[in-house]
Amino acid sequence: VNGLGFVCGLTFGFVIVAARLSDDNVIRDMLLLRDPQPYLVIGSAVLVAAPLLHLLRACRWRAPLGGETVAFRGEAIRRHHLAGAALFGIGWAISCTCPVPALGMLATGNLLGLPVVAGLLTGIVLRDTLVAAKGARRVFRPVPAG
Amino acid sequence: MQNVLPDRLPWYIAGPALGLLVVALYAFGNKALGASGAYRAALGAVLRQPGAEIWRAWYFVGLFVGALAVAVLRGGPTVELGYATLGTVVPMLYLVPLLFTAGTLMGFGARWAGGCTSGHCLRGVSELSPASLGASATFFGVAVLLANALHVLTRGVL
Repeated sequence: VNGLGFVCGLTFGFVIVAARLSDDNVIRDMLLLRDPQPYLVIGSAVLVAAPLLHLLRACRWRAPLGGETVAFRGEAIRRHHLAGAALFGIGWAISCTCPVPALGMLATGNLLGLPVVAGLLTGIVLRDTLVAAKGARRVFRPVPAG
Repeated sequence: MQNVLPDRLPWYIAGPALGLLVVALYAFGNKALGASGAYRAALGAVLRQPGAEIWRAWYFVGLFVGALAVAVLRGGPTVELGYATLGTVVPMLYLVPLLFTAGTLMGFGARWAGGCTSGHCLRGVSELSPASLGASATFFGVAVLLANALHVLTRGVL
């Protein structure tokens, strides 16, 4: 499955950069609603993937490298999804790039992708550390009787 | 080597290709696609943390190599410090910490929201997951509003 991961990553990175989604001006024009192309990319991706994914699930497809049958289930919407997404949106509007395009920027030689990538890693670690700290506190909290 | 690729891969090729990738990852590996998780896994693999998802780290390496391949096909990569719009307004001394901060917001936010643009907008929405639909709407809602607000406040500079 490592090889599959590599090949999928390779294709994903290739397509994102080839479609110029790693170009901050393209994302800026998208967010200013001047360029419909990025929306069409996402929309057509979903239109292709959604029926096929549901077909895989409906026919209880067994993934040759994953062992089990494909069984994703929709996650109920919770407050943390929206709060995190809002924070993400702020960073996105400022940087005009997001995780894959930022890596694409760096790979194509734009060294300004580096602070974004470093920031992404920092943010991810910060969040995980916070969650771990919260979890530890919860462990020490006395369990109410009954 | 130049002109092997079109200047910009059109959406009707890029979009379905990304969609098929989401499907392929499920069909062959029963794995959920996402980039912020790949960042986490790559870091975990480098730091040799137990429990790091190694295939996601390989996915991360693949992302980089795939992007590099485009750069090579376009006759590059060329080392530059290019930030088309933001770079013209913000001096380099402030640009680097600003981009770092924006990255941190996105990393923290993506982890909090349980995914980023690829995990929620591409994969989660294709699964018709309510959480992903809500997160995607929020990503775009907030970013479009803020980008337009900045645009108006800076009199069209940003």
